[in-house]
Amino acid sequence: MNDSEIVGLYFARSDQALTAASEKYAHYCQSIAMNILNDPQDAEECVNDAFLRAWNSIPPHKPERLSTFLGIITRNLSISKFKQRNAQKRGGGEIPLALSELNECIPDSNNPEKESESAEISTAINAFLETLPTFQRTVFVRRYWYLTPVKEIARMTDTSESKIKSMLMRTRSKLKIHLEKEGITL
Amino acid sequence: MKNEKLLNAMENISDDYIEEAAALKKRTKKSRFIAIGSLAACLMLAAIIIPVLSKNQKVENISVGTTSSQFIINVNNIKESTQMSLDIDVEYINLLEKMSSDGRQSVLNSFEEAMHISYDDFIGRIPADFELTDFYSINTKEAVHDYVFEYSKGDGRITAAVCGFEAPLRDYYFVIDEGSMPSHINDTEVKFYLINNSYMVEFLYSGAHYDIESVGVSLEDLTHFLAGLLK
Repeated sequence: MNDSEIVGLYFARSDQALTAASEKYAHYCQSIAMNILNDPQDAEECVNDAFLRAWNSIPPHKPERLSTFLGIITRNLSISKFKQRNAQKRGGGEIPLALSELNECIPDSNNPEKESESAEISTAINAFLETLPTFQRTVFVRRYWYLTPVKEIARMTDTSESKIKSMLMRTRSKLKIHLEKEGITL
Repeated sequence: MKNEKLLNAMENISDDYIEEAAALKKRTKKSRFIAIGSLAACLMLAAIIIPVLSKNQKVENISVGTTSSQFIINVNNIKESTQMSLDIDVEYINLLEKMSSDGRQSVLNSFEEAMHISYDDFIGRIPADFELTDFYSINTKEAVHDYVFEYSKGDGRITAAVCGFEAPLRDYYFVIDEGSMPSHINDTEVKFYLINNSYMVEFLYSGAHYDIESVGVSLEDLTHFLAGLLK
């Protein structure tokens, strides 16, 4: 079943929408949640919540790409879950590592009033990603959108971890320069 | 937190990029192969692919001026190339990391022994407008096969692979059965190829085999790079 047919089932408020979406995208969402949470039970809970959230938001939303729509919800819920869990000192997952790496991309700000909105940063990041070679972009998105561990990216790309790390390091440096040029301070 | 804001901003990147990265699956093996190995292996590979490219080959003579000299470059224009896979287990070793630790001297010694040129001499020859972005080795089970330097200039990239005993490993292979037209840079014979809008150069220098691949680099800039290297 293609995405528009599944979205059609959501609009018709058919239970089959959940079944069809789950059959097609549960594994995808589960892998996103697992990268972030590193706990199968928590990940499954987030995926279930994501499907429920999608059920409640379609309609009025009519996503063109159901995969990324569900993926984004899963990612957000998993990050929230992670923060909640981290507050309880249980640790694990890729967020602390990814956050510390992304810290290098942030230009120094001398003017707190110049804080940019998330949408503006996203636009700048999109423009930056467009300039990257496909492989480099894919690795970057894998790391900082999917929060996939470096080791796993290395395995997926049949490349050494050190090469992935150095590629990410170079990309982060370039992103920092790009954000500075765009006048983005965080 | 600032970096958290970046992580959140990543949420709104284009769906295209999210899908593109989702498609990343584990590759089965490296699709690299030894372009010139033993004669038997070479014949076997040629028998498999035999991309007869000479019919499509067109040589363009281009006068290229660098800051110091003028060169006539014969660009062998390859209209077709064939990618092929050969299962060779290779390992990438990040030498930049090693160079910044206690392993520096051992990398320097190994490099000079294999390439007949010191690392510092090599690096010092590259024009200053090219930035060294990566330095790694490609190792087979037996030993270091290639040393690879990646340079960037603006959005362009030059990858220089050097092997002390045979041609460096490549992702692709092509055969030109009528011979290709060489060029000369500072008395060294070099062969320029244009494949899919990218220049590739191969040559033997000081006993080592070089493969230079460029992406997004003009012929003039590439020649300038080579003129520095081939002093």
